[in-house]
Amino acid sequence: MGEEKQGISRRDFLKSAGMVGVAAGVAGTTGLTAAGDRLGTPMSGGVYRRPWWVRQVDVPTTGIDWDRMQRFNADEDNLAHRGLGRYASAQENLRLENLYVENQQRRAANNQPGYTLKDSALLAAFRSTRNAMPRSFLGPQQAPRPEELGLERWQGTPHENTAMLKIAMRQMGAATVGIVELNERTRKLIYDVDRDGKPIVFDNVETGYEDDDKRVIPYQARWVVVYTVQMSDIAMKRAPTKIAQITTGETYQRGLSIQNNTQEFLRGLGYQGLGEATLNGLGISPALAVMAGLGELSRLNRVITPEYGPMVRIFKLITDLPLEADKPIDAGIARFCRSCKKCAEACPASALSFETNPTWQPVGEWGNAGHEAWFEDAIRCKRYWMEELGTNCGICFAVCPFAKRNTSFMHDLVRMQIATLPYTDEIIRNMDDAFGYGVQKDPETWWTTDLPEYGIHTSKG
Amino acid sequence: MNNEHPTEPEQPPNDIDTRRYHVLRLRRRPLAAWLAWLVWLIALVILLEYAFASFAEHERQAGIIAGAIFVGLLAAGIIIEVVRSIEIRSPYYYELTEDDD
Repeated sequence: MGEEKQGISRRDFLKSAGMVGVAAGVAGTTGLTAAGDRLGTPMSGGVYRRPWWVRQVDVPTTGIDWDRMQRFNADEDNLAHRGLGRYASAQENLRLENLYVENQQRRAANNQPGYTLKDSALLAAFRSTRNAMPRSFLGPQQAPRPEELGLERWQGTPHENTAMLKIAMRQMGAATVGIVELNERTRKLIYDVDRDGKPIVFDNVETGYEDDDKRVIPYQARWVVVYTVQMSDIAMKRAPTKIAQITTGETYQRGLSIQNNTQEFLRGLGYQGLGEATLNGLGISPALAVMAGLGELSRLNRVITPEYGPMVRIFKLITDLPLEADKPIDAGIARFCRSCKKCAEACPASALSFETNPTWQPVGEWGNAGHEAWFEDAIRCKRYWMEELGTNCGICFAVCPFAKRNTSFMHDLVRMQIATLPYTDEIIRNMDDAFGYGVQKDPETWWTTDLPEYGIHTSKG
Repeated sequence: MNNEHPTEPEQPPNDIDTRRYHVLRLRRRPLAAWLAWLVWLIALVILLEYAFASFAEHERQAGIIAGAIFVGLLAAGIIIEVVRSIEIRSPYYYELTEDDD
């Protein structure tokens, strides 16, 4: 009888150890991704629990030089005016506006998918309804105040108030809500002059008010409530067409509805809600969203959120209800943008930056100095809308690798990888291309798609 | 209702008739092999879910590629298992593995 061998051979040991490592890696990664939400850290008020790979940090992932930053004049310096505002002559602005209308008419006359009468009519429906809705700095002021009901105004800890407000705003339709505390630095993110030309001033008054000359924010109203509203990725992936523009218009409408509701809710609690008196007014949305921990500044020079990618619009209002501030986040998004550049490559107007790292120097006066960004050439962008399209664009939103519908576990796995394994960023970008993401969807098929409410995925946040 | 016990099966003869009985062989496998199957299974589940979700997300190309990888991985696993089972039945298997160390 032969001698029986004891133990295992070195070869078997190495094989087993290697496979234990691989299996533990795969099973661990799968388990940690699946358990992401449970293991995550809550935002202020404890309402949301974000996956563990969305880390809260003390300073944003793109730099800010608070000493250099100044409050922005949103009336003179931005490009929201007709044509190119002060960045072109009156004659040139008129030419561009005429071209915009001509492009719309030509495409509609040719029955071009995404520009037909039904597309334009739906866009106009959202836009005109939004324009008919009340919008003001102080809100509708219809809800009864506590004293009218014989009650004291609401008292709660900042933590409780934040949780209460965030839950209320989720009910109203907000996707995510974050809080920024106003101080000497963050007050620079509130416009010096609002988009309608009215100065915004801080003053030692008890309540905010508006007169013919100015909008006044009391110093004691120290909290900015920043919220995102989800856009429909299904529509946006038809960009640049009226279909994609519909989701922009519709989201602004919902954002305004949430603003009115929140202002009335705060009034009912005995506090003030000072909102956007004009579309995108009051303050710099991306900057406030970054400070509120809703996302990171990206190559689009817009905010990309961990939950919805760039498929959001950002809104804000200021309140004196004591709240708990959130912190900026690091989910690897800005770092991923350094190597990705997919939006810049796809931009037909070549308006987005190809620089690997963000810079401190704005391209033009429409960008506010004092922070790092991939500053875009907004003139080129807007000129393209008018000269070529006859609609807004949105291609950069649609092609972004973060603009996924997020119904698959695989997307969580990739986002976790982006946040934790930066050396895989280029592979992920290449895989995104190989799997066919970012290719424009047929606009006409939107009208036969089985759409969820508002065209959005409401359970992924 | 018939409460009678069913007829006792015949005791198999000492000399097993292989035409009437199947023989189940449980073989020891190294830990590495079991873990490889675990990784294969997890990958299959993730790929299948991704393929279905991609079609639901209207991302046809991603769905097709994920489905193709799923089928390839599934086929690879099946082929490996079939080849192994054939190898194990080979009369030369034990001779081959004796020198394997």
